[in-house]
Amino acid sequence: MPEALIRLDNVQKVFLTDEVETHALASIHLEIAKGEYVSISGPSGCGKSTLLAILGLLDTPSSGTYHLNGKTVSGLTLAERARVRNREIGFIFQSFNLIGDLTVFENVELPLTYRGMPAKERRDRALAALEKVGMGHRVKHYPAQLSGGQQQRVAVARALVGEPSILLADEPTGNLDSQNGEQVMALLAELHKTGATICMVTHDSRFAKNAERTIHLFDGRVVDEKVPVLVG
Amino acid sequence: MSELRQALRRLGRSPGFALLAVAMLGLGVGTNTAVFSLVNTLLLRGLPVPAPGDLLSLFQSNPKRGVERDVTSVPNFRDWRDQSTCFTHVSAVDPGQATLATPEGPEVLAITGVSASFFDLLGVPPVAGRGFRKGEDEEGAPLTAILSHRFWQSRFGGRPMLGSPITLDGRPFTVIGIAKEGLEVPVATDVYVPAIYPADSQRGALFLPVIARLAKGKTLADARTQLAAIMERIPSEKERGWTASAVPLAEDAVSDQRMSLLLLQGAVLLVLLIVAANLAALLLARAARKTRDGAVRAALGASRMDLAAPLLAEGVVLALGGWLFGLLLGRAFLAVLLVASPAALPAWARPVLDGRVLLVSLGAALGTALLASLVAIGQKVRSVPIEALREGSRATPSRGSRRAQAVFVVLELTLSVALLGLAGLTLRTLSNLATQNLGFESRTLLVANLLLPGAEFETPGARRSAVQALTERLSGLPGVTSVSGTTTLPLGGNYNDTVFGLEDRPDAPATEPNVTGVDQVLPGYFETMGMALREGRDLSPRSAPDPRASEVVVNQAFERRYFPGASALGKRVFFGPRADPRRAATIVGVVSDVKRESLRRSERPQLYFSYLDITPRRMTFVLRTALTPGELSSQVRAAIREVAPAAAITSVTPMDSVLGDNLTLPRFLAGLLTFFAVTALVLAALGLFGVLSTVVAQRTNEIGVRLALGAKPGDVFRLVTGQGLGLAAAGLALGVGLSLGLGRLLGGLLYGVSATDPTNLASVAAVLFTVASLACILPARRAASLDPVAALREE
Repeated sequence: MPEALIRLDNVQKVFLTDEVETHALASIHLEIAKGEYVSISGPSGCGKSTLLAILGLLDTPSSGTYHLNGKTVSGLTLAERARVRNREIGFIFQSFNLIGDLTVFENVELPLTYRGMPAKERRDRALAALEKVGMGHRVKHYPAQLSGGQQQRVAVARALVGEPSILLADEPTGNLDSQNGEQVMALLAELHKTGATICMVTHDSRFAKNAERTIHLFDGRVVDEKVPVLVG
Repeated sequence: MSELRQALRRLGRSPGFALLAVAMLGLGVGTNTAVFSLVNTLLLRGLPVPAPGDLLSLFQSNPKRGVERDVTSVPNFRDWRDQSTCFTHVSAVDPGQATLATPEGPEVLAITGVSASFFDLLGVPPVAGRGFRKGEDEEGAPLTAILSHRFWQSRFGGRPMLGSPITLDGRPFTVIGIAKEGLEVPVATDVYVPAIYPADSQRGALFLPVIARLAKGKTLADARTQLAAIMERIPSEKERGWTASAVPLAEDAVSDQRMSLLLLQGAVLLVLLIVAANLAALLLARAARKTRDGAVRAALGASRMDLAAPLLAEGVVLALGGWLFGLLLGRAFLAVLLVASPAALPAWARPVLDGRVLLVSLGAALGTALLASLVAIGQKVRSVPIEALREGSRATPSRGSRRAQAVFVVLELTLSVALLGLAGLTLRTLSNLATQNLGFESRTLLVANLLLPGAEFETPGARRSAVQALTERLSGLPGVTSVSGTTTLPLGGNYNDTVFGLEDRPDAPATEPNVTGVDQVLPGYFETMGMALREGRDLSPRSAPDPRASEVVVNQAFERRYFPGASALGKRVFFGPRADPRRAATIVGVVSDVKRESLRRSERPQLYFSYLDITPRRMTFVLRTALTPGELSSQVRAAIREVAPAAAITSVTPMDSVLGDNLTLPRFLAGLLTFFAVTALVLAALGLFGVLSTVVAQRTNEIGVRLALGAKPGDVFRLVTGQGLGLAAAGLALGVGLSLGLGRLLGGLLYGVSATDPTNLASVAAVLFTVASLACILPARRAASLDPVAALREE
């Protein structure tokens, strides 16, 4: 077993709304190794997105511990979490979440500006990331001027540009037609081949098969964990 | 810089928001810039002379007589000048009128008698020629004059005048200098002449304003102590209870405007606060729409500072836009103010947008925009809104954001109510001043001010003849129903007092003498003015003075004060030694009181003599007309020129214009406060409209449910308007409290109305609810007309 990049021990997440407790996640134990490609699946409301938010340090567990790169990150302050997110995690969202007021280049450059990186280095890395996803010719465009598939490629470039430890993808093909969806999945597969660690939430079994391991959630618990059988 | 560039681009992509924000900021900054430039000119920058803080106005006072401040006499002025060591210079500043002989006839101009040291005292030498030299202000010296720059340009077209002769009041003067442009300190004048007074001037004749410059190392307190000590050494002054003191000249020069200016500055600061609150509400709504962008930035690792930076950058860009727009508006406001109320400011005060004004207005713009931005930042950086990143989430303001917007609207309404309250009080004051009973009938009254200068009117007989001839000629003009005259027109800016004694009464102590206003009038004056004769008769028509049968008419205030519960008719008054019948007169009539010195001051005792008894060179004819008074002006001027071509006409104007001059400052204050209050109310109404629109958008689904459950459109309409009027009620309650507090600060600016006046408060409430209702109508109608099926589909 390769070294664990992510380790969750007995993680729980409870939401309190109007005196009602909702157990979104219960007793989650999970390890993701460096260079691994994991998919998380399950029905709506099973806790997939909550788990991804905790993995991405967008949310904190109600209990349990979270180790990232060997360090405990469950008790970090807001500022520390922001710093870890910026350096260790790359996000790809279902709805792309590009900022409409920024150009393609500025969107991709954005995570690097939060590191205080010099402008020239930012520029080189952002252009390289855009070339990598085949969007180097659209740097001055705004998101609204791109197709859905192109927007998701830009989002992937933005996720890659900071060379994070892990890419977290939340239904990355959910808003794309099948052809564009397949192109994005091929892009992720290619990134994985070059060593990227990927954790993807999807309910599309075709794409879940791309992962090396699939974790199945139901009612906030891991009910199944298997390595898909590759056909053909 | 890249943050600013991106902010500029973001705002460019939301032009409606950007323009609205810049317009609001510009309005707030513009009003503040205009008013602050007045405050800067009058209260901060000071007089346009070197070291203006060292200039003092000297005066005498008599606490026992209740005289806080009075001008002084020539002997006292000389004692102050010769005995004090606190001053580098002391100068008389004796403003008046004189006639300039011109080929077209005599021309009345403003003349100021000053000491030889006047220009050295100011530290502003003439720009051409020289100032007065020592000895030129003493009897027997050659007569010299210095022209004001303005008068030199307007009257002589700026042509070389040094060494040229001019004739003032029939006497030849030589022009020796041209004063610096815009000097006009401490009073506006056309010509400066040396103030020359006889050696035997009376110590009791108080008519002379005096200014001085502090010597190096001396303080105001030193000057006050020394002036009081000098007065202590003058036996007659000490006996009568007179002392002397000083105040900074700059303070003295703006004493009328100070309170009004500070009030206006406070008012525009409230407007700026309203702008800040409105902008904060706008930015909150915008931040809510951009929730997802913020969430994305946070997900990418933005720190709180990183999240705040775009909003701060937008704030800075909006502030700069608002500042530039505000400067343009401020200049325009200022121009309108100066055109609308030129007399509201002293002549030396020409407001300009100098470095300090620019800096303060920039600070106001940045402060307002950043304050508003900080509120939005506070909402935005509190946490990472994960939901916003998910598919299908809507950009709606959080509960905290909505509550904050409601708080801002209540704040805006509160401040608007306070301003409306203040504006209402000043409007009522203006109305009370303008419509009060003056004791005479000003409509259909025309007044013509004359001077009878030169050798032609040297003798009392010549003046009497001229006045009689003029009265007859003016009486014959078509449309004139009666003509009379006075030396001191009520509210005309001139008035005289005299000390007197009463028959059968012991002499009043020297420290508390009987003092009354005194006026010389022509026969028929009371009838022409519309003053009621309460007892006795008018002064007898005579053609020559009769010392043995001197008579006076008194007003009711005189009778009430000196003959309470009894008639004054037949009583004798003395103006000198009792044994001298030439200085005594019999009271033959009692007339109604009139407003004499100011519209605010209550009526004081007043005596009316016949003009024939003294025959001064100044005369104001009053003409009761059957026509609109203004229509007769040119005929009156022509008639005067025809009968007395050597007389100088100072002015021919309807009495209502004279009253208008007395209302300049209250009108200025009421006009500006009303403008600011209306501006504030419009901004607050916009804020209320914005909040209700947001509420309707957010509650669309809920409204759909209500409609589906059977609510009628009217119920929904009432739901929304109820919420809006609830906010208005909260603003009204808080605003009334604030208004009452601020109203007490107005104090002396009010007349005939108190800060707690219920009518004023009721009017404010009515205006507020009317405007608030209008602001509610559109959102309420939109809510009431929602399609329940579409509304239910809204998440």
